[in-house]
Amino acid sequence: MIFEAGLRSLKKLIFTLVFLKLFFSGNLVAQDDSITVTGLQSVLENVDEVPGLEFIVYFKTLNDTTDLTLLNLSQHADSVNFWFSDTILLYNQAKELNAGLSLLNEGSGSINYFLFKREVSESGVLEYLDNLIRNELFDPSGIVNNSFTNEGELVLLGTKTAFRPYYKLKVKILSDIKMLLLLACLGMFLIASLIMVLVMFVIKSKKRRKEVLTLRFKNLCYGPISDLLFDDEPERLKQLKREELVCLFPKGHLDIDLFKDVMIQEIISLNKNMKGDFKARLKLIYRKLELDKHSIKKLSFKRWDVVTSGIVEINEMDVIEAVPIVGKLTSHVNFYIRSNAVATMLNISEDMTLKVLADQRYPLSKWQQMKYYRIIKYLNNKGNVQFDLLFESKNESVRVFGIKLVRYLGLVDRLSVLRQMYRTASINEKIEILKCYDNFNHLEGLDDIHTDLSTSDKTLFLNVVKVLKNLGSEVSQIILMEWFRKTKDFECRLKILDAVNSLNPELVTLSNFSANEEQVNQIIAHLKDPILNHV
Amino acid sequence: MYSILFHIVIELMGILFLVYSFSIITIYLIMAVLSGLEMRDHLRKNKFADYLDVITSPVSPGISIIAPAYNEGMNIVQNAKSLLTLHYSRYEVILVNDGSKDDSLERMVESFDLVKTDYAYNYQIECKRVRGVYKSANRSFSKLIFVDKENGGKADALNAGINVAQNEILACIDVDCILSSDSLTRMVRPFMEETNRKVIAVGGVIGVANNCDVKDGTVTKYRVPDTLLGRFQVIEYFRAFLMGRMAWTRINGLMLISGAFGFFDRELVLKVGGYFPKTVGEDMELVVRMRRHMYEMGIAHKVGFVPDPLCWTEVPETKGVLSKQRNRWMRGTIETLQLHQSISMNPKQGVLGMVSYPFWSIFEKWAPILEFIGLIYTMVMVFTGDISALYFIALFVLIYCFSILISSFSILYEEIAYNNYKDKTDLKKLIKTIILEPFLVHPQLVWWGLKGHWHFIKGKGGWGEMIRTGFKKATDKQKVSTVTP
Repeated sequence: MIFEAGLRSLKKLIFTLVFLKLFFSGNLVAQDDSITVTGLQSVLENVDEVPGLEFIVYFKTLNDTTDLTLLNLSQHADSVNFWFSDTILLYNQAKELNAGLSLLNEGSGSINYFLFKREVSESGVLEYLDNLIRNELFDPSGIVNNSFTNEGELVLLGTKTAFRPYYKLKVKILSDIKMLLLLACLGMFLIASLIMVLVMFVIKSKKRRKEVLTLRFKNLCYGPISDLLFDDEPERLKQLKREELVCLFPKGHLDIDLFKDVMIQEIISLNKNMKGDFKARLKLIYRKLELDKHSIKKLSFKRWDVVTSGIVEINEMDVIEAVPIVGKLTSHVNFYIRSNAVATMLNISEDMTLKVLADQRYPLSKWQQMKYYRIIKYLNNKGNVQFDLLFESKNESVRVFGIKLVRYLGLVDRLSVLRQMYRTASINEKIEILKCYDNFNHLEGLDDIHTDLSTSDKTLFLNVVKVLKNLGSEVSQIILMEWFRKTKDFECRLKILDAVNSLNPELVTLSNFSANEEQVNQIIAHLKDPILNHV
Repeated sequence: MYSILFHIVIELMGILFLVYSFSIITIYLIMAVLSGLEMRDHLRKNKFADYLDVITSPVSPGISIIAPAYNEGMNIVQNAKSLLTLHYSRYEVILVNDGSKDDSLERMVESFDLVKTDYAYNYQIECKRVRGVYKSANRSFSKLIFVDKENGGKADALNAGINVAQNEILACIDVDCILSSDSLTRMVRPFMEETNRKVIAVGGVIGVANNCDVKDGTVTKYRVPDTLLGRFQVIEYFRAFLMGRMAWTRINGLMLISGAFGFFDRELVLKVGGYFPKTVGEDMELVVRMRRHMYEMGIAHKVGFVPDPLCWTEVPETKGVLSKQRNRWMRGTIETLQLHQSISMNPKQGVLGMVSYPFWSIFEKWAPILEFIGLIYTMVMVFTGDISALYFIALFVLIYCFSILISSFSILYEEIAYNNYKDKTDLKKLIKTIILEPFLVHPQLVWWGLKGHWHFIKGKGGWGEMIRTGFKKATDKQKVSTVTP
């Protein structure tokens, strides 16, 4: 809580700082861009009208009788000595008027500044001009231009000076941060998109080329393999040398990796669909063409999919000599390499102790279990597989898989081992052991099972109830009814009553259920429903 | 002073929009690369998968398909039959009749010999009253369960189905979806494969079925829809599924699984309290809540995604229906983000809090608003004459080209990975749509998104205070009564 609050405060602080930084940096930039005006009079003398700026000339006479109305000055209502002009837009006019008044020698005059009808000091005018210049509302170049009254002189000067644009595009682009960002965007976008388009097209064309070649190679290898498989005598095939076999295929093609891959895939797919002697012939062709070396070579590749395809080929074609290399890959960090290597080792190593599986450090996924189950089922049909190492494995998932195998393969003789394991087993192992008990109607170990009714794990509890439904004794009925009264979980109550109903239907009917009567009636109705129970 | 402030605001906004555009471009380019890598890995993995084994193996997990139906009487029987013929051994089909006013119930009873049972219904997740649970007297339909309940909306119907489900994986689908026969085997693969992390949910690609030929529940001939809106959605779905979600899967940051085709771990769904019926974005909200719970518990987890074409649906081709859909999606997004606002930039929430949530907030939720402000900004600039023509044209060209590039990539991905649209005229139509989309369709999407925001502010369809306050913990949903008394 404190950490979160702190984090929120920190975020706020960072945001404020960033905002202030942006604001102040904007302000500083604005200050840097400004042009300071020095010598107000000289500036005003050289410019035309300045927007918003007006001038009024004040004149204070020495005696009361002086009349300045002829000079378009007005007399102040409160003071007869004080005269003032109309508002003047040009400074030079105001200056001329002031100079004219000074010549009268009848008082003193001054030029006063008005910004938007409000009188301001000289510094106020300076500040105002600065703002105008900064915001490009006032062009200071006019100061220079206005000093030239003779148009001809200006043209002459212009021809002597080389043309220099006021805004240089390059400078403008580089000084504009938005434009810079935009250019960066464009550049990055163009480069990235070009690379991506190129990569995509290369991939697409490579894929297309590979597809075309694969199809062509398939057609090329299909004929010779069929001839070798169906036309030739088995003995003749054995006597054939590699060179003779190679001659059956288009010249030089067996040096191409893709052709070899296509050949192997064709042989593997035929091997899956054929039986007996044909399988042996396919394996012979595979070896005689030295395709096994190609498969083994794949194991040293960096790409995981190439390594995995090598392992799969070795597995399918029973390349026993590759066992030491494949064995090293059974603990590989890559899931696909690892799981296929273990499957291959189980399949071709002829190690009936399943040691390679028991030594697995990584947890077994359900996907791996599915694969290994298929292989072990096949091995178990062939010979005597020993499962004990699986039960002793340090890896919990391997032990759980071992228990599952007992159920899947009907290994009734291992139930005694499971019973020994039960007390010290983990929850997952217990659940699987209970499923085995349930599957094989294993009546022993009821006491241990009863004890586990007090578990806090709902899944284990439901599995215990399920086993008791099938194997429970009279004691179980009493214990179950006690648990029914204790528990409030609907699902648990339903399963308990289901179990009791299965063991002794009368007990359910005769029991006096006081609490939650409606719920119990609902459960009983559910249990007695023929469709729910039998369909 | 006024002038300085105005200029600062204008400059800041200009930089903001530029940074926003820059970020979008960068992020989408990264996403294109990430999705490409993920797609490559997926295709490589597919080479070593034997899906036939999954169908019969005793190790394969059981699946409960839950399909809510409201006034689907015309197609419900056909859809149920299609679901019952999927290639998988351990699964059940739970159809939930969400208080339909048509003859859905009668048709189902008649077609499948359904009988109302005394099923002891357990309201472990709250939902509207269940009127009856039906099962068939015919053993051939033993996988089918039909739940008849009072109307409460899609999320409520799904919750009613979850209460009945018995298997460890829940497949929540739209009843009108067309599922490929091998959809279940392919979708359970991520659940079965993972060793170090718990897979809590898996999403799938939704294909556009408009104008396609469908035979035995599978699309046999792909054709692009005739209308521009339909064709736009084909491209949009490519972008969303083949690029967006694949990229998010790569970094384990996926926070949306389509409600039309999503698989979930039942135990976890029950733990977090099922769907939240008071939001219109129930699919996204559930995924976020599940992930949030896993982070809160400190359990390594993953949300998977299968890019194989396994599910198809009819998309709306009229403006009226599409606008309502987009409005709803926008409100759903806002509501979900609002409900889970406390995970934003929270390092404890991993990729979800630090990457996915901010992305969705900035580039999905705020996108229509920022685009609209950007438009006004540009118009003001044009009006005041402060815009540089060079700058404006460059930016416009950049964004337009980028839009075309991303859409082209998504089509190219589809071509490389699956190549379903083989006809060249289809491809030409799609390319034409890509060129026209930014002018003809995108402005409408922005407008519909804005309307979604407006409707959210007005409180339309949402659940006012609760959504604004949000959940303090993922499991807080269970404390909230979501059923109106």
